[in-house]
Amino acid sequence: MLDNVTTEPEMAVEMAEQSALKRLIHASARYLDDHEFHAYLDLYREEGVYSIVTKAPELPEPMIWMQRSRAELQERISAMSEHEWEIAGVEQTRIVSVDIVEVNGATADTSSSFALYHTGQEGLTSCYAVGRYDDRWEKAADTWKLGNRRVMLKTRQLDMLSPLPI
Amino acid sequence: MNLPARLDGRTRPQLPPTHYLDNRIYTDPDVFETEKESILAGTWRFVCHASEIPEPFDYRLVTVAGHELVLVRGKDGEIRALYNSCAHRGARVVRTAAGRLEQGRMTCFYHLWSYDDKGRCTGISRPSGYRESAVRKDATGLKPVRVETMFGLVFVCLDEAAVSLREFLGEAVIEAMRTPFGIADLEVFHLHRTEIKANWKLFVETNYEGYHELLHLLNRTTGVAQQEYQARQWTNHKRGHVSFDHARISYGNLNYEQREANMMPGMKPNGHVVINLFPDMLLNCRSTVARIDSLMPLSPTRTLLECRGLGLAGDTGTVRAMRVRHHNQVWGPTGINLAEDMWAVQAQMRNMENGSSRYSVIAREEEGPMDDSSLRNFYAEWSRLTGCRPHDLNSGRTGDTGDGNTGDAATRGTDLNPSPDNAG
Repeated sequence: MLDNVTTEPEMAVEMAEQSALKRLIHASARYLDDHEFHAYLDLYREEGVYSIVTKAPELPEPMIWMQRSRAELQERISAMSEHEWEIAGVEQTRIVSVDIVEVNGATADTSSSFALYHTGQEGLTSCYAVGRYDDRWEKAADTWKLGNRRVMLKTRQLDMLSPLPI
Repeated sequence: MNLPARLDGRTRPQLPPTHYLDNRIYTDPDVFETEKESILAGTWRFVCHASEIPEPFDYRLVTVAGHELVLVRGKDGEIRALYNSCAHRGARVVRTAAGRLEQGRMTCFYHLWSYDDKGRCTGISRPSGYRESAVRKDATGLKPVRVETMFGLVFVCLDEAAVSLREFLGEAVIEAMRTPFGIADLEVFHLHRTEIKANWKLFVETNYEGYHELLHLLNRTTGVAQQEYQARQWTNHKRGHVSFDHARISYGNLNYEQREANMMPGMKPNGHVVINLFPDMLLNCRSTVARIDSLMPLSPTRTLLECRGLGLAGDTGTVRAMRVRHHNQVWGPTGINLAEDMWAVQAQMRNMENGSSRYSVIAREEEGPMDDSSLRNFYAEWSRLTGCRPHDLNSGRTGDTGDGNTGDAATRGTDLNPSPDNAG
């Protein structure tokens, strides 16, 4: 029975891991808000994958709206033309609440609710999208990296379309 | 030497009346009301693909010209459309976007009147109360609307006197639609909506002319840049429909994978097909994946765009994933083209709404993909149906249906239906 009891040092380690993961999730939101895409992509493993998934009542299966590897995301953002930046480059603010952190050795699963607000050049702010970040993290060289971020989008009628990650 | 007349967006262009537009057609509330009646309610409108309601009693709600309809597949396999308004006191009967009728029945939540899959009333609560009046369930029902399908595409028409769908489309258009829509069973895998802050016709125009492709990084890199692409031509069909010749696209120019395997039936490798059905439906196929765009005009300055991606029914998981990927590269909400089209028409709308831009020019006449005759074909039909002159709202109604649209032959790259007042 004692085998299942988490010792105080183990608990401290787990809390430290949880805090580290929460900081990374909030950092991911801040990097996107600030258009610091290199820092954002650096949160991913080389083979990391980003996807946007949503479910409409009219269709039986969930839809994939975007699925890109880290390299593909990098390539797409680099290739964005000037007018695409005009479309996508509005001020963004993400409010993120980390709801679940489950650490399991060298992997961890987290789930976070988010709301993404846009502020246009006129200073008007509106909620652009809400949903969840369902993340799979993997630890290597003592650093957590995103192996998979799945954005479970609840908002399906997007006001402004963009190739940038949500 | 004759100097060209001034063209500044505010002065009436010195052009044939078919070659420019009075931009108030995009903003005038009276024009919008006329369009609602004569075009949005008066013509056949695409509402969904049959694969979206595959089984008996499957239903979904659709909106046509502001009216909400229940589209339901009956026990007999037929698709029917019914006004979603209880015959009793007008409440919405079905209140969820899609689903399956429980026991094949729709029951109004308010006073529990119920209807079957054909819209016939099956139950009136406490019918004895109507003993003294003429209300009987066998003479009661949800009002039906005309429904017809073509290659799995479901159309409805609110006008009971309108011609059949087949006549509305015409044989040439039906033949053009056959690849890929009529060869095998297709299935919708993608559906999204987005509100465009612009008049519906501005978005239609992005699909009716080929030279805004210069806006799109994808199109100018993989299509327009090729010499052979310049041979692509529009074919103007009667009733305002147009089709764009097949083209071959070089996806490799943008480091995209080529579309050479698992193609949609009838499509050529890296092929591209475009068909515009009047008033507001775009059929688009890029070898491996099909796309349907349709519009729900909400007001003169707001339009709901509904986008569908389609693959083959029975696709394997791997092939479907490929189709989804190809769809999303170009068209998805995070793809490359749609955002640019929306951005363009919203930029137009801003200046048309505030009156800065009074006239638009649709005067290109040339062989090839950059001709404006397709747009002029659209506006000839628009004028015939609304009775308005698109180049000059002040001059009132045409008073003449100008029915040049009943000719049989489609024409390539030339104006099919010049306005009756085009002295040009």
